[in-house]
Amino acid sequence: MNRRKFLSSSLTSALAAGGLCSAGGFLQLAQAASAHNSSIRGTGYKALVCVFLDGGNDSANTVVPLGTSEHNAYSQVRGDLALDAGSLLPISPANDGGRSWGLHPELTGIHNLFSQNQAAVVTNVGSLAFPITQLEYNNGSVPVPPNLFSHSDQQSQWQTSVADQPSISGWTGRIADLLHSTVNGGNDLSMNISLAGNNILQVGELINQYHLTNQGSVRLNDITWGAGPERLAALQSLLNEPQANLFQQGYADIFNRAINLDQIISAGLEGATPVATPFPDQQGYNTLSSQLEMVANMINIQSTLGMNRQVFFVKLGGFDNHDNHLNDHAIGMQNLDGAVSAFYAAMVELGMQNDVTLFTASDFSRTWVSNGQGSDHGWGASHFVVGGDVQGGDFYGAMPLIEQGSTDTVSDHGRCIPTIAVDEYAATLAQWFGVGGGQVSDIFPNIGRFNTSDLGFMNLV
Amino acid sequence: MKFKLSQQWVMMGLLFTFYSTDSRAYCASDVVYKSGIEDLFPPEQAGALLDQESASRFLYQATFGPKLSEVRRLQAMGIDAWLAEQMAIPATLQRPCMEDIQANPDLPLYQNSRMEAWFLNSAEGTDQLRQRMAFALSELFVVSDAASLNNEVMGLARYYDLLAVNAFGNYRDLLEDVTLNTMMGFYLGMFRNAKADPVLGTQPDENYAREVLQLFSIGLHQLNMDGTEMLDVDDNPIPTYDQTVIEHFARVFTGWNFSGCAENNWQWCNPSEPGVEAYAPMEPIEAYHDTGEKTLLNGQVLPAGQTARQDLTAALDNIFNHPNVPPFISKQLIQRFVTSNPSPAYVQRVATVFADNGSGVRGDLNAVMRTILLDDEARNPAFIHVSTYGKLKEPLIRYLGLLRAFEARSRNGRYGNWNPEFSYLQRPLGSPSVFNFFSPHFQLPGPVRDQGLVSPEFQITSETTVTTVANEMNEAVNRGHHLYDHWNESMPLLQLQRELLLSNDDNALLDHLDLLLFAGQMSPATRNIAANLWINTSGADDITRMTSLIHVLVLSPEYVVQR
Repeated sequence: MNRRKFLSSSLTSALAAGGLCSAGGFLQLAQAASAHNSSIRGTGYKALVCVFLDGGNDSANTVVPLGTSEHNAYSQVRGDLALDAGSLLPISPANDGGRSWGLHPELTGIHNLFSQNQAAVVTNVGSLAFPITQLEYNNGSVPVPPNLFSHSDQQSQWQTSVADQPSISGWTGRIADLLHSTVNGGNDLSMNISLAGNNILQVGELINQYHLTNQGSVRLNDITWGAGPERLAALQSLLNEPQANLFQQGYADIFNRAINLDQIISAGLEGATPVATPFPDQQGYNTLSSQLEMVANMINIQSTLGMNRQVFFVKLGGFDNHDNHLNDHAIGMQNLDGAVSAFYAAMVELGMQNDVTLFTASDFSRTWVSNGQGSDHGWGASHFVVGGDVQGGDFYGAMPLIEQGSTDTVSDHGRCIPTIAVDEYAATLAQWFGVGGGQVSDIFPNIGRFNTSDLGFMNLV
Repeated sequence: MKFKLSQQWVMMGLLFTFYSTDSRAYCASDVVYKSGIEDLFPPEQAGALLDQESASRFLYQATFGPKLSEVRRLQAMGIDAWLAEQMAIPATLQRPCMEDIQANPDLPLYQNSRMEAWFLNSAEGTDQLRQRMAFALSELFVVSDAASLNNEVMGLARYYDLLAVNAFGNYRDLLEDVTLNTMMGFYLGMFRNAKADPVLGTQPDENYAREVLQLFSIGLHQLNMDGTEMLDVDDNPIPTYDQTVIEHFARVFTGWNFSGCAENNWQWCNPSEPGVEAYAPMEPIEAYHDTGEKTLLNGQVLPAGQTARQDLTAALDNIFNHPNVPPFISKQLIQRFVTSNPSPAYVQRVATVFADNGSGVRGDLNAVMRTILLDDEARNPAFIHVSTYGKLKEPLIRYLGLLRAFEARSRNGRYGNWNPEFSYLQRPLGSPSVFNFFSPHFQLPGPVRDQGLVSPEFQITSETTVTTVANEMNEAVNRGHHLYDHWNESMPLLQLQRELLLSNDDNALLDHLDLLLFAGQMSPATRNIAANLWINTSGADDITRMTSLIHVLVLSPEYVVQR
């Protein structure tokens, strides 16, 4: 029986057993959580912050080869998309593979964090069904994730960490199913909070994500106008009425949660002094910055809210650079850098830099080869991990050789074959966050196919 | 009494007509505040072909929402005649509004004007079905002013017009018009997409090739005619194409530039030059077209040496004739108009007509839309009580439903909502990406997901967005009625004089609101809560009671879900 069949048959039995609102497999996992309490790592507060670079960040122009001959090869392959060697910000990772490297010129803050060992680069990560070589890709002997190079599919594969099958849950969603009742005492507020709309990363089988704006929760304008109190009471009666129709009930559930949790969160935010660290705004264009500022303020009130472990999802758009690539990518890098640097500084201000780890994710990288104005959908990409508990200042994994005829790619367009699976990257973060070693394979069902569940970039006590 | 009110509103109308003359250059309603609602309570005609609840329900599916007068008209003429009439009405266009504004040197042309034109045409266009179809198509063939097209006002208005004009034409024509439109060309990179250049080391842009297949025509997986996925022996879906096919389609879509460009001016040709057209369908410059052999869907080979247009025609035919197109497009149209989870049999009935309208024509959208709206699964009221039936109304459709039910008018005839995305999470031709505001596959976690169902509109429904919509509805109702002195001349104001006449008759009022807002489907529980609110607010003045009641009702689970 394959996994798809397993999930659907356990769904049927779960429903037959009395309409449980879960699709099965991870129910056991959540039930197992209490039995494995001792394996939850750490006792203090921890948060993971996923910064999703929407559209597919161009990794080859984010961390760039700097050695003369290698930079020449890079420039030849990239053509009009190549960055000048002189503009790059040199870095010196211990694990440099004997090669020289520089960061995109806009990444000055991340460059500082890297130099101070507060940021690491995990190299050539991507969604994989199994480890795969160029030869295996070309002869089709090893399965690849379905619908490679499609935005929606690779986003989903990154966020579910189940690259070879449709998955109804994401990896931090499954962590919430496992840990929320224990570490957060089953708080009405979800472990998973999104400031960037619905995502699959934070969908569990039992526990869904909660949404905030970059200004916090949204308050219902109910009291000051017209027959305010009567209207609110009538609305709540309507929302509490059981609905036979599934969509009506789904809407009522969301609306009820909105009203109830807003009271708690708004009170918490209003009762606290906001973080003082300035977040860059650039006239409101850096939406990542305002999202991360709100994340910082939420982390600031975590004890008021009674939250011990939290996952935040934020997003920066504008990375699908088929056109106008150099300019648009530089804006993206600038916004990323300003927001991430400010966020780290805010964590230092709160004295929580060791408790909070920020990491980047994206659909995929982009082709090395230019289409004349931009580049197209690629695959493996380097990503940043930032925080005081990161074993920073280093590369984790090998960097591909950017050159014509490279054996690290699937075709002559320069779509780089990942050498680290999303599963390995995510499992390392999950274990730092609190998932016990014995439960890693429950959260990451394919982890056994890959080299390791600990890439070594986090300080796992 | 009715007569007296009407007289009063005629006088008010004169006043406001005078008021609005200086801004008439904008796209403003012809029926601005002239007379209030002319016929407050049009009676049911004898021999009606349809009961009023069924008429209202149909109008929620097929228009931006029922008006009482339209309910009566539909009852009298029947659905068949109404559909024939609607499909024959020429498109109400946005372009004339934009040209009005452009003609006035003092008025800048911003996306704001395009938003106003959208609200005006959607709320008041007599071609309601066509406007609703244009909106649905705009969520399928997505271009957006959210990024690189943010300065393209006229181009986007005309793109929307293209969708309205083609709404009941043939899908193949629509696909070609969309493909060659400069807005789509800019948005997904087919404009000035050049063949590979070995000297520069460039390859063709793959963006349009990928999205036209994934989103506009066939999707990722092979489908049965009933819209379900075919599965291989391991129960896995079967891909419709691979990366190689994308690369070959990318080569097909090379060589296209503005209409009227000189052969030797590929890179810098622009509409400021004589004869170069900004909005005409793109035209090829052969030197930039890849003339090599290409292998497309289902192994069809385009021979080497074809012109750009020969390749394009053959490639669009190749897509059009893929067996996925009928179920892929039909199912999404059903989802936009009727229900999120149509039965496979319903999809198959529509897809069959898409594949052949009975006269051997494939892609006849007129026949497709008739089939969708006349199907038993759309019309039979028994489905109303199936727990998985229906759809969450899109936030903009909820708002338009409110405006139409109460025949809202602004004082200057304009619709001053320039940024509906802030409150309603939707902006016509303004979605965050080519993936629209929501995916047809989105599953709300919980029972919807666990029963294997989809709920597309829930992708933009969360704790924050239900509240922002509720707050905007608060503005639209409690400060947006005809007795409120709203600061914004362009704010549509609900005309509630008719409802106020029912203030002393609770049952008649609730019956009336049930018909207009719930298509007669208001449950006893909701009616009871509404009645209690009416009683509990009896100390307040009538308009406060009325707007409080309407505000709560348009936030109710029964209003936001169309069944």
